[in-house]
Amino acid sequence: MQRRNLLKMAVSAGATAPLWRSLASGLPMSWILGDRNPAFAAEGPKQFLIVSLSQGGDPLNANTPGTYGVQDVYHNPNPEMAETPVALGGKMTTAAKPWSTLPEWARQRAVFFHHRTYTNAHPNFFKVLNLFGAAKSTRGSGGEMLPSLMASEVATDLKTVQAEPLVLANTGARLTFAGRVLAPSSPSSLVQILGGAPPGIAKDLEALRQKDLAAIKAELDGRGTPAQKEFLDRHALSFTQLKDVRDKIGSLLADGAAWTNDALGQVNAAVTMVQLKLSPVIVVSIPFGGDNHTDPGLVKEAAQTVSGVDAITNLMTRLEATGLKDQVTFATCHVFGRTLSKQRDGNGRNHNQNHHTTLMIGKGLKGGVVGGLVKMGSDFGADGFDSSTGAVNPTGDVRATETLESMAKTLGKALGIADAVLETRIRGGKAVPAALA
Amino acid sequence: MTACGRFTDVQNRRKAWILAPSSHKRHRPSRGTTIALMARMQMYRRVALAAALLATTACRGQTGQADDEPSSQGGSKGGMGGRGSGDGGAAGSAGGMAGQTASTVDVTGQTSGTQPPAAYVAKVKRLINGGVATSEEVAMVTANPASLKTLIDTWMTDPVFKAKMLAFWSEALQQRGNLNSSLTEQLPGFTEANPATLAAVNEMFAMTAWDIVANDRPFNEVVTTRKFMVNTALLVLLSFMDLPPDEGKKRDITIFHNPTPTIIAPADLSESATRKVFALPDAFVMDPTNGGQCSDPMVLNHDTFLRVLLGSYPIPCQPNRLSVPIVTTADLEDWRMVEFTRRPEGSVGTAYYDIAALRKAKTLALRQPRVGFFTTLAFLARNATNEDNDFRVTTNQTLIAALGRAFEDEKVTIPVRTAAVSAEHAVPGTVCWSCHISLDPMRNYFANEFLPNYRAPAMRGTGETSFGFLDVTSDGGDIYKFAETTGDHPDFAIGWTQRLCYWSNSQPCSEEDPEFIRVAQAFKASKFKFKTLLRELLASPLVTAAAETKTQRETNGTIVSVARRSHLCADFANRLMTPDLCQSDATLLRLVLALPDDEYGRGAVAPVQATEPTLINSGTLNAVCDRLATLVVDGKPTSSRITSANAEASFDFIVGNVMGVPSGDPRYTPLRKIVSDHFAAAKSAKANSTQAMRSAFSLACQSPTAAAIGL
Repeated sequence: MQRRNLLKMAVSAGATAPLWRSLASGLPMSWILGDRNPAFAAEGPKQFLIVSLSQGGDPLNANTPGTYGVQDVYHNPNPEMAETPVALGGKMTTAAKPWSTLPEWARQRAVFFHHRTYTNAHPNFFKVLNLFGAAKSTRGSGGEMLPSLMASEVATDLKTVQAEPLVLANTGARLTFAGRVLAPSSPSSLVQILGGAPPGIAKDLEALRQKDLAAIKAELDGRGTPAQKEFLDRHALSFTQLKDVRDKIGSLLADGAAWTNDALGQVNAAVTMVQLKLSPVIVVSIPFGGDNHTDPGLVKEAAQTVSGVDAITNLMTRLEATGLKDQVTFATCHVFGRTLSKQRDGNGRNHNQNHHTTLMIGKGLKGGVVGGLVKMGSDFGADGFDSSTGAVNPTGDVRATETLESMAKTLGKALGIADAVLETRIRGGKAVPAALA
Repeated sequence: MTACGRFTDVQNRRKAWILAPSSHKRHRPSRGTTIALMARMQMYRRVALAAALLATTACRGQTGQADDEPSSQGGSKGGMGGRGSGDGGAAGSAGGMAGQTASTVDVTGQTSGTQPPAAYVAKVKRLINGGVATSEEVAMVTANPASLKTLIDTWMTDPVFKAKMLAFWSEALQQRGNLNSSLTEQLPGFTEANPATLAAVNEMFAMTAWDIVANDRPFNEVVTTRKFMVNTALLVLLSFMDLPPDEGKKRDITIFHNPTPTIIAPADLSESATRKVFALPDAFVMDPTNGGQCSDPMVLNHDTFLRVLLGSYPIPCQPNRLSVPIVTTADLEDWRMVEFTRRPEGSVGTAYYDIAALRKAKTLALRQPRVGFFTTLAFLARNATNEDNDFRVTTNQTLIAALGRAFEDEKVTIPVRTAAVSAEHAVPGTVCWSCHISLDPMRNYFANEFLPNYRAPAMRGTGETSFGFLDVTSDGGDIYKFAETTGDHPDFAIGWTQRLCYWSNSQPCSEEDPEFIRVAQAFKASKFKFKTLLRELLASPLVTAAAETKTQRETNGTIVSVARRSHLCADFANRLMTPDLCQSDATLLRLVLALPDDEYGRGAVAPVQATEPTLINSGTLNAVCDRLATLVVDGKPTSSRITSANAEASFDFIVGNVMGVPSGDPRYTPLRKIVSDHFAAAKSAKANSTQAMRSAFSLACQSPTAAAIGL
């Protein structure tokens, strides 16, 4: 409804064709205008975002920097998860051993942000991604999911093919962009879809169809209702985008990286999608132990922490190799964290709405730990902290009850989104200077 | 009547709707379902809250005060004031709509969210059976909008309608999923089951639902039925599940190929069952020279013999998998309704290997309860539980699939008895407590009947059971009572109306929309006849957008969505006159599976539905259409319809059927010219005639009218 009203307003105000198209298609103005219109120029360098989501509520939070040295916190007892010194942003801390294997340059810009997600229920992941209503649409009123909020703010400057996030994994959540549901596309299917026709007559006919699809659109355009015309615009643009991507993707697919559907394949595909500037936000899902109520000896938690950090390391390595390490920020976000005290005799962890660790790695970030733990009943939760230092302080300027929003604003700031925009689109919380480069 | 006055009516209707006793006699509270006083008070509070919300909204709209969303109410003041849409109500019933829309709908749709008959007739027919609305049908509805209901009834007789409903129920009732791995919890060693058997497991309940609907029985029987559409192979599986926990490893079935003095061939399968001696089919030869692992005869345990029965057992001495099972192809095709009854503890039931008896069975007594969609092998496989989860997921997913509702920490309905609440989650007032207080006593309905792998326990459990969900409580009883209470829940009609809103519109309807309430009430008043629900909803402005509704104003307006997989495959089947076309070719099927389809995630009340023609979706469609072209142009399935040798007739067919634009549509002629010009241009580019016609087909297949629902 909102967009139709915007469309109406645009028409009644005699909006230009590009504005109409941008509104109708949801595409950033820059994609339509190219570099011609300075009014839509970047406010600052923006970052792509590769974000790992999970509705399972993985125990990533249980073995991260910031949870060690706190009495009664039960860390994973397996040898591969041994407490190990880790340098973050030049400061020493401790964490499970796998975190020490991240490339040194990545640890310089890796922030472990301790916060709450305010829910214990898996199906509430969409609420977490909506920041429980605090994440607002472009107009500052209706809701928007965090990955989509970020995407809509950076797409224009990044000149991406599409404005909406590209989802490479089933995260369990119904991800939306401006109210429209985003369907996941597995890496293996992308190879086939984006490959296109082989050279020769098949390619020639593909080009001919492209031309004639435009003719069909022109014919239908003249007789359609607004809703139909909106679809026609999107449909036509999707084929234009497809052609552009197909023209570029050949050499990128030839680099030998496997596009499997597991975490490793997803990050391989994600890097190529960034190279193609296909989308400003790529959604992947890197397991860190899953919904591990029952995990004898926390063996699965250990194994997936090792493989998960390996996947992140692979991502960092590929970003560095492709010259993208300064243009891409990585983050994780789960529906909630897990309990930190020893429960179930060390054979599993329960849901913990009070503690979650978001890992962010990017050029706009300064390595370190933000926030920390406080004892809550029989377990632990994220406490408030001072935004200038990131140090735990229950009466600090970031209260425990606004840590989720503060995490979101900090991530937005790291992506290059202006403070004023963040204030409009994320209600409450504050960007944390201690985490920002 | 003022807008606020109308909303008073809405309040009353909503109140009447929620408070009205069930007209479905089988599920009256007198059967033991008690609505506790406290729960009833909660209901009143809900009604009051909803009514207050409605009244506030209505009055704001009436006075023109800006809401958070200055939606088309502003527009309606100028452009649609006379259209009876200012109160958030639609045109009312389809009959009422008929009188209003004929004179009030803006047929160009340029200034409102409403759609003209040409658009919505095409949409509705496509939704029902994948067909193309003819010019005559559009003209009929244009002249008399009420005739849409008649057309809907006609369209529902098309065989493709059944296929569409089967696909819809498979997902909505959570019967779909990759059983190859998930069934192993219930059936160890079943990972390489005969694909046809696995397909039957998936299809069983959707076929049952079809039987309910085709015979005009109340649709809430999907929750309470004890009769299921099954074949003999499924009866084998369900009987096998009834074995006591340790029985599977017991080695007491003999198989042989060559009779010996000690192994005398049974006369028939009845004797085989009695003696537990089975002759392998003649086509199967045991090779005694292969590593000495073979013997003839062999003695197998039950877990292994089940696989021999169903043709998925790789016998060590036979390099190839047993390809001729004892359960034959005919046993997978003898679908019929069978009633499942409860077998008393200690009594003897029909053995899973008594094929002869199972082939004749019209009733089957089992120790395990089989009632409603939520005890099928497929549902339980999709919703695996474990000792820790302890059937919470089973309970929650059952309520989600049955009612379209999940536990919410804001809406607590405390069961009569709560001793079964896990101490770990029992701190009152916490978020954990608010769900577990209801969920934990309810999970015992399952825990008493099943082991965590959904096999039968040695003895039924006696855990305390109590139902408490969204204002309804019901104390005690077994899983059959759970089914009755759930099937009789006041949210049943609302939940299924909402499911179909998603299916039809790719977005939810407003449950406070008077038109939504009317449709849900009509469904309930019909004693839950599913075809009534479909007819009322699809003829309603909620779907047609023939008039503006509260739903339109509160959601994303009219969405013209990409046709998702199930819709598209039905389109292909109907329009290319080839049933199951999507499954007719392995390459096509692999590509089609990359198209998005409606999917309900675990714990999710709303389905994931792709609506957007993104480059990924369009790229997939491109690949699907290219492959389809190789199958249908100058090929077998429609060889008489699309051939390069008969180009002119093929162009007619391509535009009329593939693009879905009938010859009387003003768009037909120019579109046909584009297609024929494309054919000529392709030939000029040195494509041969077949390549050129395939390209023309692919062009049409990818065109917006084929790719979208609502064009």
